[in-house]
Parts: sequence; C-alpha cells; structure tokens
Amino acid sequence: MKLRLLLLSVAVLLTALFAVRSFHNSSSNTPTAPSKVDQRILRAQQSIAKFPDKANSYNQLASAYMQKARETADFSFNANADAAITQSLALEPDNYDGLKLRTKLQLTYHRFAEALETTHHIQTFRDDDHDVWGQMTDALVELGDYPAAVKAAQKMVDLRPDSSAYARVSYLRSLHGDTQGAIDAMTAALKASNPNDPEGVAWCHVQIGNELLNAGKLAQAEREFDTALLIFPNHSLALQGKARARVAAGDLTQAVAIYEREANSADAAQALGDIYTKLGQVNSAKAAFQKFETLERENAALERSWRHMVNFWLDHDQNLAEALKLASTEYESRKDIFTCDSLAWALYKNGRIAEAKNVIKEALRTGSKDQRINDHAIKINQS
Amino acid sequence: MRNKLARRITFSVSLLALLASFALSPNPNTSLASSHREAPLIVADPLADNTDTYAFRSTESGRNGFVTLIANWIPFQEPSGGPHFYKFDDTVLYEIYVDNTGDGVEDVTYQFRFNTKFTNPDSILGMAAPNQAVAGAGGVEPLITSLNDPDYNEPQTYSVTRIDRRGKEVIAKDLIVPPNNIGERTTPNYETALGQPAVYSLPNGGKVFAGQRDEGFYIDVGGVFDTLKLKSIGATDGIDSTAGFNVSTIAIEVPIQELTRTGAVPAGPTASDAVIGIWATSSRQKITVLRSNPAEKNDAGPFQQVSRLGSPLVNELIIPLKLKDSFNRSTPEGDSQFAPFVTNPQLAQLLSAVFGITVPVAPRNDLVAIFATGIPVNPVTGPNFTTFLSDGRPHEMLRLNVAIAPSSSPSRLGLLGEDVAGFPNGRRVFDDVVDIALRAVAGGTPFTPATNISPNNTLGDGVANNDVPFLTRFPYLGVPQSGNSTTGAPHGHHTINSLPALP
Repeated sequence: MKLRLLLLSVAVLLTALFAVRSFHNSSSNTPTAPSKVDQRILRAQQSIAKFPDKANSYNQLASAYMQKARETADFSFNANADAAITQSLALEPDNYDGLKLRTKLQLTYHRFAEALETTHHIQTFRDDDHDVWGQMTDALVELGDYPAAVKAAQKMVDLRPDSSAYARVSYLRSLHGDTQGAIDAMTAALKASNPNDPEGVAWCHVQIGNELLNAGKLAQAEREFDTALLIFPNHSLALQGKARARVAAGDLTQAVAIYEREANSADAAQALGDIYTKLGQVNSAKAAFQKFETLERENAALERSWRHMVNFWLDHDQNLAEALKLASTEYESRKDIFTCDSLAWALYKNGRIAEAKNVIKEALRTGSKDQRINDHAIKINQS
Repeated sequence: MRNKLARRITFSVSLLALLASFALSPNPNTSLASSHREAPLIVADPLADNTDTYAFRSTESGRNGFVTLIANWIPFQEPSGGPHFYKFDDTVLYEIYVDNTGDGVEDVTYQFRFNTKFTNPDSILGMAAPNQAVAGAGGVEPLITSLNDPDYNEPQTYSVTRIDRRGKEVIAKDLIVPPNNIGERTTPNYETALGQPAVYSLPNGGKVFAGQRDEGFYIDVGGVFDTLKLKSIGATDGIDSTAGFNVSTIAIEVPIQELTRTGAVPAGPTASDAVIGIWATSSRQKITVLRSNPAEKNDAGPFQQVSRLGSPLVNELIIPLKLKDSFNRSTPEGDSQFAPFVTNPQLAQLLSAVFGITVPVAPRNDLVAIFATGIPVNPVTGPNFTTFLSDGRPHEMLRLNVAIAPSSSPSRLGLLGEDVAGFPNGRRVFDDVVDIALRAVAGGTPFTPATNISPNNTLGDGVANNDVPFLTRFPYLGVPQSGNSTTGAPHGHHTINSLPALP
C-alpha cells in the first residue's frame, strides 16, 4: 500500500513538474525561439528609415533596446536606447511616451533625481497616469524621501490598484517596519499577478519569502522560495532566498551548492565567502571574496552606487578611508536609509563616533526592521 | 491580453510596438544587475481584464422570455496551463451592469465574488490532487468526475448578488466553478460531468454559470495589427489568432422584465422600455500604503474599477492609449469626455490611408449612434427597429432591444446582414464584430450611403467563425479546449477556409 502510494505521488509529482515545465516553455522566454526583440529592433529601424521625423519610431527603438538589455543581461543595449530617446525628444520634446521611456531609463541608470524631475515634468501634462506615479515612487524611495514616496504610491494604488501598485506598497511598509503589512500587500500583489507570467508570479513569492525570512519564520519562508522555484525553475532571487534559508537552518552544504550555481552573482559570491569563513576554509573564502569584488565593481559602475562594496570593505576592515569617502559622496546625492546606514558605519569604522551617532539616526528614521541597520545602531550607540 | 492586442488597431506601427513593449514584454530579469529589488512597473492584469461582453435574447429552446448576459475575463489561457491553471481572482469584484434609463448609470447590477478553498492545503499539486487515493480510497488518480469530487483540490465557489434601486440581495451562493479542462485522464467527459452541471438555476427562473470556456472571439490579430495588412478582406483565408485558447466566463440568464425600466416585458421594439445598455467591469481594492494600526489584519479599502467593457472593440478602436486607464476607471455616465474620439476615430484615417478608400468625413454621427447613443428609429432599418437609449449625452454601452425576438436565420454580420437580432443590437457569441466594426468605421453601411461601396462594405479580416462550435444552449460559448488534446489545432495557426454553419 505504502509503495503504491509512493509510486503514485512520484508519478503525480512528475506530471506536475512536467506541467510546470511546459507552462514555462510556453512563455515568451524560450531561449531557442527566434528573437522577437531583434525583429522589433529591425522593425523600428525600418520605421525610422520611413518616418525619420517621427518621435514614435525612436520610442519604438528605445523600447526594443531596453527589452534586449533585459533579455540578454547586456546592460550596454541601454545606451542604444538612451540615444534613441534623445533623438525622439529632440524631434518632439514633450512627446508623452518618449518622456515615460526617458524616466524608465533614468531609473535603470539609477539617475533618481533626474527621473524624479522627469516625472514632475510629465505630470504637467496629466497627473492621472498610474505608471508615472509608480516611477515617481521608485525615484523617491531611492532618494530617501519616504513621506513623498508614500504619497505617490497612495496615488498609484488609488488610480489603479494592481499587482505593481501592491508591490510598491509592500516595499514601503517593509521600509517602515511593518513586516506583516508588507507580507499582506505582497500577497495581494501575488494574487493579482499575471498567471501567464511565471517569472512575475515567482518574484512575488520570493519577496514574501524574504519578509518571512527576515521575520525569522524559516519554514514558511522556505516554502515560498520552493514555490517560486516550482513556478519558475532557476529563478535567481528564489535560489538565493533558498540558500539564505538553508544557511539559517544550519544546512551550509546545500547553501554552498546553491550559491556555487549562481556564478555571476556578486551577492552569491559574498555569501559564499561568509560561509567559507565560518567553516574555516580560508583560501576558498578569499577566492569567493575576490570574485565578489570583481563582480561588484562592475555592478557599482552600472548602478552608480558603491554601497555594497563599501559595506564589504567596512565589514572586512579594508580600505576604510576610501570607503568613508565613497559613502560620503553617495550620501550627497541620496538619503535613503541604506545609504545613511552605510555612511554611519563608515564613520564609526573611521573612529568618528559622534558623527556616526547622528547619521545612524537617519537610518533608523523609518523604523525599518533591517537587521544590518539595527545591529549597527546598537554598536554605534554603545560606543 | 487579447483585449490589449485588439486595442492596438488604432495606432500606427511604431506606436503599436511601443505598446507591445509595455503590455507583452516579459518582466525584467531581476537577477541581472544585482541584489536590489525592482518591482515590475507595468504589468498585465488579466485576472481583472474584461475581454468581451455579450447580451442577447436567449435562443435556447424554451427560453423565449429571457435575456442572456455574458462577460469574459482572463484572455489567452493556455489550455495546458497547470498545475494551478486559471481561476477567477478571489480579490476582484466582477460586475455586470444594466442601464435602462439612458443616463449611463446602472439600474440593475449583478455582482460576482469568488472564494477558493483547498481540499488538501498541503498539496502543492494545484487544481487536481489525488486526495482520495492518498486517503486510502484507492485509484491511481487525481480524477475529477463531479463538481464535488475531493480530487478537485482547489474548488472555487461564488456568490451572485443582485442590486437595484430597491436594494441588494444575494440571489445565489456556494455555486461551484468547474475545474479547467485539464485533460481526458483528470477531467474525463468534461462538458457532461463538469461543464453542464455547473449551470445553476436561479430563483427568478434564470440560470448562471461561471467557469472556463473556449475563447469565442475570433480575429486575425496578425493581419489587423500589421497595419491592417489583411491576408484577405473577405470572409475566409485569415488566421484565427485566438484559436486554441480558453477564457473565463460569467454568464447569467434572467427574465426580460428583471432588466427593463418598467419591470415589465416591453409591448414592442419601439416601446420606451425596450432598450437596455450593458457593460461589465472589474474592480480591485485600494489599500492604505502605511497602515495607521499595523496590527490591523484586513486593510482592504474601497473598490476601484480597473477595467470596463461594453461594446466590442470600442476600448480598442476608439480610445487612445493615453486615456485607456482613465476610460477603464470611468463609467458610461461621463463618456462625453471621450466623444471626440468617436466622432473622428483614428482608425478611419488609417483605413483610408491603407486601402486608399474614401471614408465619411468627421463628425461621424453614424458611429456616435452605433456606439454612444444607440440607433434611433430611421428609414434604413425601418419602423420596428431601434437601439436608442440615451438622455441626449453619449454613453458607451452594449445596447440590446429586448423586444426584438431572436432570428430564425441569423447572420454573422448582424444588422449589416439584415439580421436585426444581432450586433449592434446586443451581441451574440457568433457575431463577427471585427468585420462589422471595420465596415462601420470605413462607412461601409447603409447609414452612410456615399461610402457604402466596395471595398468599404466588404472589409473583413478573413476569419468569419470560431474554431470551436458554439453551443445551442446556455452558456452558449464552446467547450473549453482540453489541456491534453492530441487533436486540437495549435493555436494561432488556424486558417478558417470554410464557413461552418451558425448555431
């Protein structure tokens, strides 16, 4: 009886996995399919040749290149998109779609202040566009203007409550320390997500898992990561969530196995380094941290943010002066709680305790339950 | 998504692709750059996306005094979309509205709310799970043979609430949505065992059904969106792009008198209570970004309408991209703001440019009549026909004259085929709204005699019927495609070279 049941469940599981796989393959992410995005680029170029004075042709090209950048993980295509948008806005300075695409690119390039400015400009034409309020929310969150971000997100959700609006609500609640509220809103985002977009559905599960993990609800968190991986196998953020859950459960072996698969992730390399350090495997740790530095330097250039690198140096007592310099520079341009935390930690590590005590207050201002910020606050305030 | 595809008819090639990039692109791969959490910004919301609304006098035998209202959501369902398949969204408020006074404000509302249960919440297997076998009841299955089968692991139930000026009443509850048509092993004899038993009788003598159906809307999307480079402008040789997909349907049949202004069956087609206006919507709940009391468990606020659909293709043909959101959250009452797009639609200019044809000059009062006020009694359609229902202002709704009996010899072209019981008098499941709309916008109708010439009045997308037969009984839309079919045509490649008989 038991054997039969076992065989039965294996059979059913295989069926289910097959179903998932075919579901996945039916999506537009199939790598072997002829590239739709290349066809779009070609069509846009043809359209430009035909109508060289129409901004829309360039908008089409920009949009296609941004898609290409996402699909290929080759960030450089965004530069092509940027050139096309510049041309579009030169032809028709206030064309609406061009301005929305410009904002999107500015967010991609982490030019948050400029993105914010563009959304203000767009809203002189119309102020009831859900997407623009969403872009504004993203810019304000990154710049650390949380009261304004909350207002923009509220406007977004009131205009059109949907998965993307609920997801932003979730993040803002998380930043303000309302973990359960963040989980509730992300659950709403999950329920409202597009069943034909397995990556999007998996993404919501991962975010819920991360909140649960931070709240110490290990088993529940891991279930979310597992579900994400069932829906979208090899989802990078889901794998890393799963690995963090394994670390928290003390299962370093499996965590290492997962992180090692994530060969191109700076985060994974750093996590590996931490695990090897814990295991006393000094050489492996050193190699992993070196890999982290290589990958993170690329990220820092693309994202115009040295925060991860700075945090790494501070945690490893390296390059402390340079870390402080970079953290100060970043703080000039944005005051989000993570930038504030980074600067406070850099000041502390450089022995400037009084200043650190002031700046860490800014990192604590939203009541975030972020472990790192709260640990730093305790250390800084005890010294 | 189909709705979104269709919406693109109005735009030039370049804008089409831009929209495509928003509506159809996969989400950004969040793993690419680094660790930060980028939420997708522009996402499709198919669970709340109205795709089609139908309204017609019931044609099923013995249902002479009834009207059938149908609304569809969740387009482009892959039949093999397991393991969770497609369900209505428990958090969405689905509604069908009826205006019987012409002010664009609903007088009768049917609300549908769904609730999913989990027979075995620990199962990760989704819609079907071998719960009976695991419980020791034998069998190598999940096998769902009835609506109450324990192997139907995520049964969804729903309630129907009717609202009118007298108040609000729950007219049915705990009705079961059938599982998707998963395949012959899991959901054998689908229509007999699961589809038809999910048609419930209502206390008013009507019927209701909510569940998966074959996508009954047919269109050659490729031809229409390749700047109208139609493979054929006749009735055949196009490709039915929606073939092979399923959709989620809510259908309700009610006695005529439940919908009219007088509460009675109208005396005749020109009686003042003969015409009703119908549209369907979906609404999602607002939430407060930062809760004042984080311990508060349920933070769902008031509903905000996010989607609206009355007449077919109006949202797609008439409303510019920029105003889609605004249109989708609006009600017919305030439709004056969209009137300029009806009186001078971009599609007419595009048709003129592509086919080199002369189209009627703006303002297009013929289109205003069809889509925004209803067609008044006029010499062309004679003394016994009207769909006029308006307080003098434009209100976009699907208008149905409930006093016009079903046709004994229906035409897919409805009124243009001299069949007064078809679109734009209501809309039946088989009405060829794409061909009708193309001809109407090109002015190829008797209402604009100067342009009622070929090719204006012969335009079409080359697809004249659905790939799956419609039913002759409620809920009329065809049996959903099996998720494990070995005979079904792959979708998107279905050339319709013959004209199957209409039901």
